[in-house]
Amino acid sequence: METREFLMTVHIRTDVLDAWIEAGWLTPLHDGEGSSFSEIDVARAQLIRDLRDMGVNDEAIPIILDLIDQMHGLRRTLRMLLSEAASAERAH
Amino acid sequence: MAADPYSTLGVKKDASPDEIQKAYRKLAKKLHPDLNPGNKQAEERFKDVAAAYDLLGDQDKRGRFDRGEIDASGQERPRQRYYRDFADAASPYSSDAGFADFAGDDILSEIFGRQGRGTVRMRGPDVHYRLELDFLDAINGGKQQITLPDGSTLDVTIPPGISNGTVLRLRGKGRPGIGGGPPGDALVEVEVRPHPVFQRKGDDIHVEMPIPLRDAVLGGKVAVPTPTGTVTMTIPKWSNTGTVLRLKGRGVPRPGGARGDEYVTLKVMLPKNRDPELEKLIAQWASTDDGTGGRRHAMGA
Repeated sequence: METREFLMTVHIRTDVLDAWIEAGWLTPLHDGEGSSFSEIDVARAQLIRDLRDMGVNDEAIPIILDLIDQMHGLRRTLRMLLSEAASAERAH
Repeated sequence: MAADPYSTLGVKKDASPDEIQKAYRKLAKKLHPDLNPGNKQAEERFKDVAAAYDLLGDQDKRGRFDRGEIDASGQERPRQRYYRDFADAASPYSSDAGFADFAGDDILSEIFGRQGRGTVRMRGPDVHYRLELDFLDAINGGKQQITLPDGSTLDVTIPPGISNGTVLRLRGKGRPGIGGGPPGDALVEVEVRPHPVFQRKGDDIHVEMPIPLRDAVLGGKVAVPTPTGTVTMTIPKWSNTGTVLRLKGRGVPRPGGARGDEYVTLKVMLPKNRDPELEKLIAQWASTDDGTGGRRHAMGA
């Protein structure tokens, strides 16, 4: 989706979005027509908004995002390991 | 949300806005689905808590609820998906840093080694580059080429009007994926060099334009540089230094086709060489209005 729709979906102002992109919290896709946002960007922006509603300050937000991304990576690997183990079991 | 929002948040009916916010924050930190990726119950409870806070956290809505004008139903947030729903999707945010130090582990290597069989796929890492652009190339857009450390090149399409610090994402131009996974992205940070004549402010271009005294007094036409070439601008009669004229649509292109404007600040110039005739003319000039509004005398000159 483009910037306008994104701002309306997430309920944030343009300057807030610019600051988030500047800080590297969001990295929308750039094409000739401007920024384009995916569903993942929407979900991530809503998470950032929720974190701020919880009183998390701007210094802590990138730390939380990074840890969540790492946790997702770990969960992905764990799931991968478990499915490998399960298929190995079936092979025996 | 049928339950009483006060009991959902665990606060008394006469709780202060501060207490309500505190109660919400405490519950949200514990229950937010993205902070509990493995807990499916958290989502339901968080929904109730968020809906209760939408109602009680807003003084106006809370008042109407307390007076019985609205009830707690219909307060559910139309919520899209949570970030955790995309945990398995290849995204620019994916991080494998959490197990990077396990790379030498036998079981993991074995699994990564068998990825060719298609059970395990991992997205390749992103690569970061910097690209310095001339001011006018940034305004007008076009194709640029980056030479990579290994000697190969990467074509980058610059969208017109790109601003300093923008990061362009080139999908699939990063490191190759593992086990047939998709490659990472190339992230290109753009640095725009300043221009000797043009100054950019948002979507507008500012220039300073020297004009001859004659045109300042009698009006005239001058050729003004713009990012897309020279245009002729009419200077109205009696234009002073500091007068700002606007060239509509001569600024930075915006997405969608429109353009910002160019603002031209006039600077009145005396002839370079002394001109006795002009001096004579001014000496005869009898006006008492010297354009300073009397400040010249007030300042003791």
